Amino acid sequence: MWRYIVRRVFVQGIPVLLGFTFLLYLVITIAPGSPVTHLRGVPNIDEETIARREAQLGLNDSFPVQYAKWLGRVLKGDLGLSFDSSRRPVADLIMERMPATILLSLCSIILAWVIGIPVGILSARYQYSALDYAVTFFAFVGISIPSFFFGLLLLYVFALKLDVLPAGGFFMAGEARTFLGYVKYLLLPSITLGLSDIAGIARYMRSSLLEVLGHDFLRTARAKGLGENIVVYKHALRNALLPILTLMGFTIPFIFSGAVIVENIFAWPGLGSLAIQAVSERNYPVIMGINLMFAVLIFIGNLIADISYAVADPRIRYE
Amino acid sequence: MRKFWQRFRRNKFALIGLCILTAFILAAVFAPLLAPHDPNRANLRMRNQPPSREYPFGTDDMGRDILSRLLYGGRISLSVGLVSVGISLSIGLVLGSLAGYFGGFVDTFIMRLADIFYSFPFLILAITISAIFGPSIYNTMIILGVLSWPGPARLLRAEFLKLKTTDFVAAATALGARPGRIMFRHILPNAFSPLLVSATLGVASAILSEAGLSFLGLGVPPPAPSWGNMLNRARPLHILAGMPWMWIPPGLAVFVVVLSINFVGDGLRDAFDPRQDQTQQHD
Repeated sequence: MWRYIVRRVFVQGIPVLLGFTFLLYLVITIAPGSPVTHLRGVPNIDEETIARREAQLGLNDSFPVQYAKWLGRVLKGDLGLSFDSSRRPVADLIMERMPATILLSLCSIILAWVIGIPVGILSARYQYSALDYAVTFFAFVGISIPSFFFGLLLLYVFALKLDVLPAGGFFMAGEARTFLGYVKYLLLPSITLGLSDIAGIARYMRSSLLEVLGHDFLRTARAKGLGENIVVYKHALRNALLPILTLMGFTIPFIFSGAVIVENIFAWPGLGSLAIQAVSERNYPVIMGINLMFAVLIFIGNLIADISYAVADPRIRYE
Repeated sequence: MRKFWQRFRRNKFALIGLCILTAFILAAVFAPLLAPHDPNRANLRMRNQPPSREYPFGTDDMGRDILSRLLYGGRISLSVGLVSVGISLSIGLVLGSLAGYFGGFVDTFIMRLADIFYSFPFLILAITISAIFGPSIYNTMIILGVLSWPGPARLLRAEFLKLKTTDFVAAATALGARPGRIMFRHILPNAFSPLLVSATLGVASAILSEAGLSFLGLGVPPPAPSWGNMLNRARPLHILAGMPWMWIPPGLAVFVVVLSINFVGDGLRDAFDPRQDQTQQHD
């Protein structure tokens, strides 16, 4: 197992991360305009100041040199300084925002599993019943409704009309961090972010369980007189849950993508809102840092999904 | 073909989806005839009007007719969906076929590249690139297209791997057909049905992504109407709370179109899949 993890990190993870940052850095550098473009036309700033600023930010180097310098610093754990006037270290900015994004993402993933799996099981057990059709229909609704529209609807109903939940944000200054407070602020954003995953997992669980139920070993189990409940929950479910584990790794990139929009709707102080702010300012070090951070998080998420798959299924052995 | 239609028709959701989708496409095509007003003409005396006979869906904060903007916005959403899937399909077609047919180093290289594109947060990459090159409808099409090629590429690669070992390909090779001919004349037509299903579902997700980007202000820039940027304009809380006619119709439009396309895609998949008949017999 350890050999597999090491190989996975060095043979697959590192090349993919290198390729990704290289491509992204290339796109950023060849794009027209630069972070100092907006300074032109500002009164009191002459060409000399702009040139000095460009040199200071290292923008005069050629692309390979810039990338190599950036990479060299990153390997030492330094993501550089933000381009904006604060000149704060990018790593600090990211660390400040990351907990909120991870908290939101985890809550919606947990929500998706806790709701999606039982719903999928029920749907499979009563295949072609009214319940099954309703679940199928709502699963389609869940994957089709745009998160920003669903989020705005929730905001409209629960925050603006009924006024029972806050219209976004995350703990005002000085507010006590109680458990109830967390629930209050997290409820709407995590439902919005988790909805399409609830739908996806329910559908996947349904088809996975239906497939397992068709196997011979379950016919044997039924033939030896076991009740349907034991057949389904003890014998079939274990096997049907396995493929769902791989789904976890697959959905992580989507969760993070969705987080950008959801954070935007609910004024959530996470990486997504930082990303939107950074791209509008062309704050390259922050943009690169955030993209790299998400890439690493997704890689780790995938690795955990694969390892838990191997742990859960003794038939799978990674060499 | 007839049998295919019969199987498709059996899926009621897909049939309803197809009807709704057709209505939306017709509305988008004939938008200039159907729209009661110029979608971009501001009328400051008619700002924030609730729905009325003159303005069936009301007006926005610049006094523009919401219904007309919805109709024209449909043109943008549907064309961004179609064009970006066209782009991702073309790239995916070439790279997926090459990877599946030649295998070995070519395969490894292309699939690693696909991994790079596939395992990163799509939307964060999309907003980064869109902000750098400047938001525009064409940039949106290109970004969505270029970032989604790994889907069709993986699918085609799998089809090629499966079909490469079949007898008819062996026969074609034995008759001296060149790789290009085998790939595009013999194998590709057989991969048509999964490709069509994936393209259909691809249009749905491209429309969602476009609306999301425009909602963030990084997709189709105003004043051109797109369903996403109409929702973006309605973000201030007083509009959200007091003037729902500004944001519910465009949101519903995205939702209903995407839902219809997903139903149609699902219906196509069932209709193409010959196993469907067997499962029906079992039950």
